[in-house]
Amino acid sequence: MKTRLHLKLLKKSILIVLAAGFMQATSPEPAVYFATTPCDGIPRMWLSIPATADCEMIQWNLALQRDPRNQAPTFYKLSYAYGISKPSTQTLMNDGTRGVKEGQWSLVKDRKNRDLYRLTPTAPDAPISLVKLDDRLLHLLDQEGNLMIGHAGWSYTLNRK
Amino acid sequence: MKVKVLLLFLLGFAGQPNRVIAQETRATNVPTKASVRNPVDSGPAVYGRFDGRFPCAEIAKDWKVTVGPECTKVKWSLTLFQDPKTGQPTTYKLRGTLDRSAAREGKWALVHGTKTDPEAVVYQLDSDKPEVSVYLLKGDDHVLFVLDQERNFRVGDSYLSYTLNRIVN
Repeated sequence: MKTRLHLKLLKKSILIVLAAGFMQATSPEPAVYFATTPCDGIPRMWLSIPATADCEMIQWNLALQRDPRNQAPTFYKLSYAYGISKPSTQTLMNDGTRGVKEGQWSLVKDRKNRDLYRLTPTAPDAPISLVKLDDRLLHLLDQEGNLMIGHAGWSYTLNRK
Repeated sequence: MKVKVLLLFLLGFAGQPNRVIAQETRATNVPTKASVRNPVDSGPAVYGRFDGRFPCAEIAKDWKVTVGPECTKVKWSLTLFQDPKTGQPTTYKLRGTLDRSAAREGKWALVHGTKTDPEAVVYQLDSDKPEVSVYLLKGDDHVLFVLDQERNFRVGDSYLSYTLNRIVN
């Protein structure tokens, strides 16, 4: 009688552990990175910000989705806002202008053996590349693969949320 | 005619009450230029200047300085000096530290390796005082990352990152 009870408990425990593992593997939560960067010519081009727009800073929120079955990169959603900073705050005047870019992302190695995250938006937008500094940090690259250079106020490093 | 021109001029302003002139932007990926008020030291003894802003609390802890909750960010303007003949690191001058009234000065050295990359090039400020040293990872010639005292990356937030950028004249 006792053995049966133990077997039942064991089965239940195994099922719970398996279910927890399955839920973790299929979690739809994306990895999210955020930052505030300058509004130079290159990010203006990536984000289709008009050259005439009043823009000194861009707020980035990049969500990277993976296939829950094998953790392969799948989709990304880049939400951004740009404009003029509101003095003495971390926000934009009049909430800025908002936009969203979406597409596929992939992991590649470059010639320097760096791990790059490549965002490929739907045409006609240009791809965006970021280098992985560690699991919690990405840094935007220019078209030649150089680190984007910020200024005294903001940089081009994205931080894991 | 003059009245019409004046009216058009005034209407132009009235239609854009919140317009703010955009900051000068860089078309390509090049270091930004220093302001006239705060030019970069120049000459063969200067390795370079790197500026940036990042959260305050962690660096205060490293330097064993007590700060209040009002200290949310620090602005750094770091000039690294070198031996003009050999190019070897000599001293540094750091403006905009936690104590804004005085620049922090000391020695710096080139060291190698982080926990994840033994080949990484790291600049060690206050190399003669390891208990308060600051470690900066050379991303490339223009970008440095402020590391913690175990030489790990530091993670910023949605507004600021632990990154310094080269400034030129």
